[in-house]
This record gives sequence, C-alpha cells and structure tokens, in this order.
Amino acid sequence: MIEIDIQKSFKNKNEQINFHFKTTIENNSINAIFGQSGSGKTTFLRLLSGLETPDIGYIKVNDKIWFDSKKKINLVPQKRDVGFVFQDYALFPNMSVIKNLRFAQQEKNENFLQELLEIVDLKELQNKFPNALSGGEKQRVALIRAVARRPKLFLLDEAFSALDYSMRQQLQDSIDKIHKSFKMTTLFISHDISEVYRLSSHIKIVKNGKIVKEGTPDILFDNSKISGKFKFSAKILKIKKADIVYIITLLIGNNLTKVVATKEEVNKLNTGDTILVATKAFNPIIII
Amino acid sequence: MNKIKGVIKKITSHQGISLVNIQILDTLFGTVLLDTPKSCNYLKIGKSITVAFKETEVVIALLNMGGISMTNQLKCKIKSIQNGKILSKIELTCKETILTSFITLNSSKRLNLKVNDNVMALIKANEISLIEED
Repeated sequence: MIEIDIQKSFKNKNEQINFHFKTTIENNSINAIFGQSGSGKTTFLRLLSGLETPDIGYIKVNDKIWFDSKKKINLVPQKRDVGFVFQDYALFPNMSVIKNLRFAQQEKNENFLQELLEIVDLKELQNKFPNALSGGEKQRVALIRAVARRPKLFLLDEAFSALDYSMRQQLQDSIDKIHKSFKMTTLFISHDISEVYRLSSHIKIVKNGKIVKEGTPDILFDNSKISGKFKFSAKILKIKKADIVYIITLLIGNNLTKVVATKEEVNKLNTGDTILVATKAFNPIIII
Repeated sequence: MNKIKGVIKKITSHQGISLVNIQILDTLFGTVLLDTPKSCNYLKIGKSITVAFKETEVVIALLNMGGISMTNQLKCKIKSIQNGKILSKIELTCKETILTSFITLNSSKRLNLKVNDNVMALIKANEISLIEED
C-alpha cells in the first residue's frame, strides 16, 4: 500500500494555493485521478514522482519511505521506482524503437522488452525510427518505455488527450493489458468519464488541491448506488423527439445504442453529456 | 424514471438473489435483486431507499380485475392523459406521489381511460431498481 499525506503551498499570481493530498493507494490497483484543469492533479503526480517536493508530510510505499519531512528523507526521482508518461512524449529521434526501450532499462532484460512490444502490437516496428511511426504508435512506445524498468508505480499524466478517439482506445487497451500482465500500481489522470470507467477500479476526485471523494468509478454519478447490474456510462450523441417520448442515441464504448426517455429527463440533458444508463440483470435477452 | 421513497422491511436471500420488501405509502413493494445484504451495504432492514422504475414498465389496470401475479400494485387516480399517435402518457397520483406510465394509445382507448378515473398501477418485481440517495 502507498500511504500519502503531503502538503504544498505556492503563490500563483496573487493567489495563495494550498495543496493537501491525503490518501492511500492499494498495491496493484489502477486508479483514475479525475478533476478539472487547475485542480492539482498534475501536481499530485509530480509530488509522488519526486519531480516536486512537498513542504511537509510523508509518502510511504509499502515499508519504504520516499518522503518524510520530519525525518528529512527525500528520495530523488531516480530512486523512487516510478514510470511516468506525459502527454508530450519525447523519444530519441536518432534511436530505433527497441534502442529507445533498451536505453530506459538499467538492468537489461530483452525478453521483457519483447513481451511489452508484443502487448502493444509494435513487435514488427521495433527497428523503425520514431519519425516513421504514427502519433499513436509513438505514444505506445513512450508507454512501454516508461514500464521497461518494471517500476513499482506507473503514472500517466493525460497521456491520451492529444490523440483521436480510435488511438485513445488502442492506448487504453494497451494500458489495460500492461496492467493485467504486470500489475503495476497505476495512476492516470483523465477528464473522460468513459475512460475512467473502462480502465480504473478506483477513482480519486481532485478539487482545489484536495482529494474530495474516492471510491469506485460509480461515485461519479449522483445516483451511483443504483442496484441495476446492467449499467454503463454512455455519451449522448443525439436527442430526438418521437411521438410523445424522446429517443436518445448513445455511445457505449464503441457501440451505438438507443434509450427511450421522457420530456422531463431530456430537459436536463445535452448532446455530449455523459450519463449512466442502468437496467436490471433480469431484462436483457440473450442471443447466440 | 419514476421514483418513490420507501423503507426496507424484509429481505429474503438465496444463493445471491434477494427478494426485498419495501414499504411504500401504504403498500408493501417487492423487488428481486442480484444482491444480498453481504454484497450490498444498503440492503438493511429499516433503511430508507428510493425505488425506481421506468415509465414504460408501469401497467395500468381497471379496479375490477380478478387475481394477478404482480407483486406491486398501487391504487392511483389519473391526473392527466396525453395522447400521441402510438403511445399514451398517463400521469397518476397516489396520495401525494406522482407516477407516469407510458402505454399504447390502443390500450388507453380500449380501457376508455379518463382523467380522475381510479386505476391500479402495476409494476413487476424484476423491473424495480433500488437507489441509495444521500
């Protein structure tokens, strides 16, 4: 388990900002950090990785202390065993994919690199240079480069946000597969509810430099504690009146689907909103 | 979505399925869930809970009908009727609670439903979800 209780204050223009992150992270879990821009999500990851130093507090990873202001312990980023992926990945342009990966490994383990290349479907491209790759492929290289050292903690700071929908999906698949294969404790920042739902088992909602709510991704919705077992987060693509009801066209994962709604429900909704749709496990018929 | 507040009165569980009885107005509602008090922390006797069900799952019956298997029956008065070409939206009041039902226009006409008629609203036990609201 990772135990965190850290504080950091700084001045932004004339405003005094106080961040206080107090939480625990279970080993091998995959956690979404959710919140608006400016809420402190990136700072949280930077404080964890050692790129920034808290004013006071502690970070304890299992029995190892990474940071403790009282004991004056502050491990440098290289000693913290963290893999970090940023939105703007920087691969070495003069090295092939495989050389980029080897460069990131301290203890050489070629088998592990080949396994990673296989997982993200890049085995064929390992001898290519970065400028011969698409944006999504480059980002997948950056992803496995960050885990090439088998870090204890894997951090992703909006690693997907510059990509289009299908590339994001591929990258999400890759993260999911990497997590299932190697069980690294993972934290990723996301604004996208469907992404949070798809990938994470836990979510931490950050607001004004604090973790204000945490739990399963269901806490994102007010009516989260609905008993229905057949429930999905869905994006509204279209709302159309039909007879005296409304038909909402939804995107659930990759699938288009429709749900009937009342006027009162539709009044509260807009195209682009994410909603939770739920029904009971008794209702869907099964077609083979 | 129709929502009514109630209180859990009884829970009968067997192999992961539970029948939960909820006191709603003066009626005891039943819902079948794939949860048990062990898997779901709000399944507790005495707990306030909201029952939720879709408008299209509310069946309307005249009062003089014979026996019926449906667990959940509420005596209501028709508040308004709005007819489309295919569907009919029936607003019902049950004490202070308002329910909505969508039935086909044909059925609405066949039963000759009119505002202020007393009717039964019927909801099958497996159409009811529970929501824990803060």
